[in-house]
Amino acid sequence: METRSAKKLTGNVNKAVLAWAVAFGVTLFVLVLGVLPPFVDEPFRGFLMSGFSSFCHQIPTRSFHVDGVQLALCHRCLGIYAGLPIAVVAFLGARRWDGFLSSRARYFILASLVPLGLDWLLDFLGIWSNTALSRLFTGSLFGLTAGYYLARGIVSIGTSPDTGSASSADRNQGDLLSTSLKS
Amino acid sequence: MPDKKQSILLGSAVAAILSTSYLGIINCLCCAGIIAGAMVSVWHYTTNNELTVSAGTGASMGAIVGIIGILVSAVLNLLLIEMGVRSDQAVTNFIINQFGDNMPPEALDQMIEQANADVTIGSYLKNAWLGFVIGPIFGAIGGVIGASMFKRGTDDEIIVAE
Repeated sequence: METRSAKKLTGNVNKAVLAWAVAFGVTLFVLVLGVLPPFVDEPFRGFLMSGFSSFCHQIPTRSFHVDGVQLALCHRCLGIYAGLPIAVVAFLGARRWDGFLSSRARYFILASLVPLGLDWLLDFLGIWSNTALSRLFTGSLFGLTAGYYLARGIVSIGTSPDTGSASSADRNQGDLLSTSLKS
Repeated sequence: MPDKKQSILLGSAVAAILSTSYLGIINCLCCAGIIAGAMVSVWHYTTNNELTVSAGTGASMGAIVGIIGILVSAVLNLLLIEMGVRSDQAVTNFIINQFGDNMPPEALDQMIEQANADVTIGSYLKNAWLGFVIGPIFGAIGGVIGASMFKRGTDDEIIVAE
């Protein structure tokens, strides 16, 4: 009986690690694609710019350039996409506060959208001119918050229990990852 | 466990509509169209079945909504472009009019060239390919947000939907 439980736990730990790796790999992959254009040749650059054009306005004056070549993401989107993999890594270290963070997910996500929204709205209304730094920073706040909950969600996919409350099921994910990292 | 197909299809329809033609501009705001579709999917599921879902269930539903939404919007966009509705051209012209004065000449030329180019299935797919990676990511984010926002039933009745 204990062996079966131990096997089940090991299986869940492996799934949690795999799910975490997928979350980190995919978010990092998209970020790398977004910053790659200045470092690749013209045809591939066009391919990347076209790929991101449906998800980012790519206005040259609102994007970073390297050696005169624009990234595929604007300042704000770069902040969001950079925040995602950073938060997936931070998810491992933030386990101590996981209960607090998970029970207030909706408030943290909404709060992370406020600076981003204000930065855009105040500029749109002509009250304040946002800057590259403000766009990058407010975007990264949302990226970090969304990335954290994305990591929780994806790790939870691989290790969902059959019964129990949703909140306790969610709490288990950090424990599983922590167990695997210690072993 | 209740079937999720109906909720996923509803969410996918919302994501697809919000990612099509002129409405697709909403995706320049943190992929809001995809996130909204995923949230609608989780909202429909939790409301219809009076249950609360885990973050994992929300993420998986949202990721599926992201993929289907992007796929359907790609087909709809192609059909609309064939019918002469060029939202991409309108957006590019808007950007040129608003920000053209401050743009480097070569970037401006490239945008004008891009706006005037004919759209083929190949050139459209060149634009749409990344959606199949980004769609599920933001769909999952929307699903997790939905799972945290739409909790149904009392604590004692909470069920983890798998």
